[in-house]
Amino acid sequence: MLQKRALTDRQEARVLEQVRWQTFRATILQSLRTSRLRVCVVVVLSAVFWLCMFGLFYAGFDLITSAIGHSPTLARTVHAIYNVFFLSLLVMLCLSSAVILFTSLYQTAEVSHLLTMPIRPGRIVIHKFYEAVVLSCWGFILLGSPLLVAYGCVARSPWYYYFMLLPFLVSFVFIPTSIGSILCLLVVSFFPKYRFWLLGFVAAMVLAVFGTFFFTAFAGESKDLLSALWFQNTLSRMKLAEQPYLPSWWLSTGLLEAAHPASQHATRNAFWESFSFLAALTANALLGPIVVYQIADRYFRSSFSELQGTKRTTRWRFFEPVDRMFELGLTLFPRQWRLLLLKDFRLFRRDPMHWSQFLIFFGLLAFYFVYVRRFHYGQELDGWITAVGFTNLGVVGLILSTFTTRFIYPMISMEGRRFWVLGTLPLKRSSILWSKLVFALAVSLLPTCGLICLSDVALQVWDRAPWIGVLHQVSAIGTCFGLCGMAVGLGARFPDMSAVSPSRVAAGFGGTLTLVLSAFFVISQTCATAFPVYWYQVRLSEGGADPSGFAILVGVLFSLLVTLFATFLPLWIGFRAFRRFEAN
Amino acid sequence: MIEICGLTKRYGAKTAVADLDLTIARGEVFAFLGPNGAGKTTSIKSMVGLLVPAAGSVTLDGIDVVKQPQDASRIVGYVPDEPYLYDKLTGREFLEFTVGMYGIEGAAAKECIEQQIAAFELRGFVDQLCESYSHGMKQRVVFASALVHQPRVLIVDEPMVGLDPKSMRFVKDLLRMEAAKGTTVFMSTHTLSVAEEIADRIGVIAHGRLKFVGTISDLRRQLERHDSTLETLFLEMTNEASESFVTQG
Repeated sequence: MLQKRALTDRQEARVLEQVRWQTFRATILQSLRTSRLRVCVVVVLSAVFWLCMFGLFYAGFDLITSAIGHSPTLARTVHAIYNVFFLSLLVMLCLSSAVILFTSLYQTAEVSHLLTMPIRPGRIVIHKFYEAVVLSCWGFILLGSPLLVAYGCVARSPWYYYFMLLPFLVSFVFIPTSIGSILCLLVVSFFPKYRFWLLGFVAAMVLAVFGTFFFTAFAGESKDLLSALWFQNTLSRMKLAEQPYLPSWWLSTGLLEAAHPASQHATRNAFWESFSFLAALTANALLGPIVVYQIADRYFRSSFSELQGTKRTTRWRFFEPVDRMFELGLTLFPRQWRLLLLKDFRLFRRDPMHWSQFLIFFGLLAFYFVYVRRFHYGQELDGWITAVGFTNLGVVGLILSTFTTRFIYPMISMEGRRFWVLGTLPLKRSSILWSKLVFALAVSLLPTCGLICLSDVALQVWDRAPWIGVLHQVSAIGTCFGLCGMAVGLGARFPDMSAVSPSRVAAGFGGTLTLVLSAFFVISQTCATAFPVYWYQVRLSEGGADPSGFAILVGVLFSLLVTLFATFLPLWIGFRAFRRFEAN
Repeated sequence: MIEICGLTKRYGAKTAVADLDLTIARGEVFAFLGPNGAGKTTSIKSMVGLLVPAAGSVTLDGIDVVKQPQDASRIVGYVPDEPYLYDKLTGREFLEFTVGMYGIEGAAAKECIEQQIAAFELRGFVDQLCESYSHGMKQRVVFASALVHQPRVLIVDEPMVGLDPKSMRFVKDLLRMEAAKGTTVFMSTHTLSVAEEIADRIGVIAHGRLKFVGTISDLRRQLERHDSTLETLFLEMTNEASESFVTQG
């Protein structure tokens, strides 16, 4: 008879650690073997992103340091910035961990498999908890480290400040991840049927509290903005984030203690002060998983079972008029196209992954554009307004490019498993691609042009130079055409017809290529018109003779050429490949 | 070996399994039959501890699955209808993970794994990543991992789906061989001929209620249709040839 023995808790952890390590190693080796371009692009883009953020934060801290001068006020200002920044991240990490844990614990086959093995439920939850920590750490360090390193450079912090950054950041991430995990486990255990409503309610409350906080913190008359009084008032209002029981306060205070030694003697004290905050964070970080484990051991198995019977099958009839309106808008198209477009629209609408990310990114941009209105512009700022206007245009284009790569590019591949339907219908292959292009334009044109219009209203572009507003709209339409043409064309050129997940398709060679080309297109198309218009406006505001508009004409023509090239070349390649395509 | 007493499982207002009573002896092959949505998979998931029943109990070799789920899983090998393999592990690493979880170590672990590799003819692909396997290859690795710790109870949900005739023959022989060694085999299947061929007894479930338990001969006697095929008897028993297409599993 085979000798089997019950594993200790530590042994269970070791077996799962080994699986995580083997999976990680296999993924890295496979990526290096088969997707070198993707790995290079991810590394290069991450480095570029980090350097840009570092440069931005360095310039910002440098500006604050030189503008304030008075050391205690400077220290208070930086402390306030850190407190608000880390409190925002604390709340966002709590919510995102709850969502990540819910998906990975209750909706994956792996957990279902592990539950049939002789392993403690608490250990299974901790296994997925560590995955959530790694996911959170990656984003948090990418966003937090350039800020902290930039401040260290500006404040000429001692060497140990840089060495303490990583332990501070990692131990901090454990705390919101633990809170999010506990929230997820308790909500699913005690309110399995109302979990979405509860999570939505918590998210809405958090957004409301934060929205109120930000609006009150930066409130004031537009003409007083950036004045000394406004600055003092803002600092006082930001004290709301300065609560000694918040882990974000421990983090910011600990880091600033390490960053600001006043003298040689103070260095030793500052180090130990900082170390005591790190110790407080680490102790809480270690306590978090223990609490998660205990709760999970008690409730996870029963909540998993409970959730199996509460699958959502309700159709939201509320949206049916939206479908009809969409269909009405398509009356000019042939019937077959209409049916294809309506099918794609229904799939889009019923998958919250599609529109929620779009909504969040574009919603945040709209929030920023509305806030831009608060700044009081003098006549002399025309060059500045032009620069901000075109930057907004570029940012909207870049965000749209991530959307077209993530959701439009994989559309042809996602038809792969259903190709027995589309491929056998009395329908031209080209109609399928045209319908995808029309669909992509239908969902991207309105929000893109709307956002650019909002930006121009906020910047008072329509009042000062309406022709720039028109130029922005033409550019936005061109951006939509170029990005959609590239996503549809290259999606048809590099289809993965066996794909199950659109994210995998987007992460493949074709998806990466589309993302890189889209970024190049947006940057070149925007810059081609932005620079001539900017210099024209600067010369105009300097008050000399009327400058010539020839450079603008050349820029616009070049931009138009780039747009035509980006729209039709990938489409031509895609149509040719798709006509020859043979489904397995 | 397997004792199910008054097992009831509800999904909201719907009762998926109602008052199920079953006793299955050591070394027996028991086939669980029923149309889609009858309650087969719910019963099986309750037997392996994935679902907690609303009422009743499941005991495996004297161990209560609800009260001692870990102890129960130590004596069970489970092959689900949609098996899970870690895509980024090789078949060998997956088997090492499984034996590790059952507390088998050192030379014994190596020996168990080698035995399964030989028995299931995995040698040609066991060191490749699982994501590259065909359906048949995956099914063989899943069976190997379910049996690698020499369970006393083997629970198999729809084992024949998507297998070619050779693999089906292999699975049928395997289940009979395991039963001969003293393992209790509980299998749900749609393939009536498989049940007829290898099961010692069958159970028929419809709408969450057990309609029949016994041998094929008992079933024929009960319906007094000695010349009928199992398919005809099954359809008469469940009396829902048409409904079976509209309910979901």
